[in-house]
Amino acid sequence: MTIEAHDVTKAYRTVVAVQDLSFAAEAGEVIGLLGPNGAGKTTAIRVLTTILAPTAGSFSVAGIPHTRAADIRARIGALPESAGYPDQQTGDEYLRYHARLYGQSRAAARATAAALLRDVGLADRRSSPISTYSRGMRQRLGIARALVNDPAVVFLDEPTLGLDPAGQEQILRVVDGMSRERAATVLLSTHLLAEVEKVCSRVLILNRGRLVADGTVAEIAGRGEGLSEAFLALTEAG
Amino acid sequence: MGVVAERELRDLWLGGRGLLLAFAFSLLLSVLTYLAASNEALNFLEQRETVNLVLQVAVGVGGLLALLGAADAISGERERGTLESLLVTPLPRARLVGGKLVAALSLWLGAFVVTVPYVWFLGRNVGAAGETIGVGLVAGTLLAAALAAFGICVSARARSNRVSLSVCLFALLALFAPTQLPAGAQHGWFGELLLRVNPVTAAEHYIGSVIVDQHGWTHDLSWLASPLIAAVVFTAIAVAVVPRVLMLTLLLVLVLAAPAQAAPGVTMSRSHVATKLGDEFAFTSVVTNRGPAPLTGLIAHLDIVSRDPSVYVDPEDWSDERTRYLAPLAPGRSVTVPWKVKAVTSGRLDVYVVVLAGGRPTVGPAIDVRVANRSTIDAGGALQLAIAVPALLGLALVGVRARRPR
Repeated sequence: MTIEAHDVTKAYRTVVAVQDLSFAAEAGEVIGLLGPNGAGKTTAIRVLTTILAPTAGSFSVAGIPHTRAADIRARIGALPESAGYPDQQTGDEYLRYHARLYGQSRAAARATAAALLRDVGLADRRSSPISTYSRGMRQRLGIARALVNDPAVVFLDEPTLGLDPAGQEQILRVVDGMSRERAATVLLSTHLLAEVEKVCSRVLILNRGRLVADGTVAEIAGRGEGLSEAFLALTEAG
Repeated sequence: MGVVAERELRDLWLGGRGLLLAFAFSLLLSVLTYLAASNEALNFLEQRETVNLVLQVAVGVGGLLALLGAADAISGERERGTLESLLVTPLPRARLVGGKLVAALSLWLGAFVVTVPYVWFLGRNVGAAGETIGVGLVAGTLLAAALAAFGICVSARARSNRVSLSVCLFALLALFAPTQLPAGAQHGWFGELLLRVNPVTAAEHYIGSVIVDQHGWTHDLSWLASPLIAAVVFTAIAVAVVPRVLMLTLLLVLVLAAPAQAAPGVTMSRSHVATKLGDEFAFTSVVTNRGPAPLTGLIAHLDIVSRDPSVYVDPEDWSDERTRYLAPLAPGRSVTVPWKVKAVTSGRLDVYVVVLAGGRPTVGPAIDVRVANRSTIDAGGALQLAIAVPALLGLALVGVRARRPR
């Protein structure tokens, strides 16, 4: 298992953002994390990426217990929700910098940046300042950044937010490549059900901080007249 | 820290922001230096005072730049949405903060490098350039480190970048406020305590002590205690490491190293004074009753003599209140008598106090006073310097911007 969560809870004073979250993921799985706004998706990702400490429960990522946060961070990649980018840096500089933060030598960082820019279709814009990138290009750059350390698990929080259909399609192709070519586990937070149906093998649905469904796309869709109806039924019921 | 510091420094200096600030700062120094050197209305300051003024401006502005750079370090990343991407890497957070701190400090160092040619120009004829550069680097770096680390602490806690910058600016203004107090409020034990505990006023006092008063580097070293303590404490808080015990021990030694005084019948608060023609200096004498009976009819009288027989000294010109009638003094009790003297003749003189008790005089130790002639700045070359430094920085800025990819 690359992710194992046992009763993970995160509370902010009196507000419980995530409660008793338990699930497991295998290598190469693409898991869709669904839920309405405020369901706790982003908090769950922040806990699993060790940015926030859990209030209760335990988890492991890539076989590493959550108490070894730095070791987990070395084995994961993450694209936070509404990630920003340093406008004055070029795409190449940005990726080389992040590769160096993972301890790569200058030469290795240069090679990593070149390969990833090619993989996400930004090789021809590698020397352009990020300020000249479109939103879709920035998101692809963010995904490339999440892959600089060849992670075992990748967390993507709303990666297609605000993109046009062509941009969404490009991102989903990259996500698909992560699991097929790199055998990485991908936890994809989104509220676009079509995306989930297209690339995810499993679905987790959160509602008001609680996990209300965990199964394959077909299993969840079978609970209603399709994934959309099942999602609405599960989240309205909560 | 290396990777983050390198990236931050590249963004700051090769991105042009640091050079732009250095360019603006050089314009300020050019105007200040040119006016100080050539304007008759402003060139009233003694040369060392002018050097001191320019260095104080450099330390103040350099500290401000370091503080503002640090105030943006964490809150700016958070607001631009780039912080989370950094936090999710295995880089220890202390090293991230350390890198930011180095970048903020580089703004002070940049300001200092810009200041060097101006200080050299202003201080070259009085041999003050070297010590000015040295003392400025030491005191300014301590102060800038304290301010930058404080800025990082504020930036990490602030809800927004605007709040962080506002809090830091307000704090800096509060720290500079004592410099605007009337001179009287800066004297006495409480006034001195206020100046000592404030890192800004303490650093500026130390700089003035070395440059203007020409004290040795170690003479007023304890004044650097508060900038040093602030730098250590705020840096420790910023990077969340255990305070460095050795540094604190050193600080305690510096703070507690107050000069001890002997206690004869008449003692003086100062043994040497180095001053300039036209300047005032102050000191006190302590009169102690060491006998078994009360002393009455006490009169303290100040006198001044020149060691050079060719120099005539009229003590009336030096002090308009040279005779004091003191209250009776019980056995074992003391009275402190303050004196103010204005140096009206250059050269080497002795200032002493005689205390008459029942008509019998007791003479206190003399103060060795050296009064320097006023030297003002030679304006030759000021204009060229005032133009050359901003021009060079402007060219560097244009060059850096031209080579940036578009």
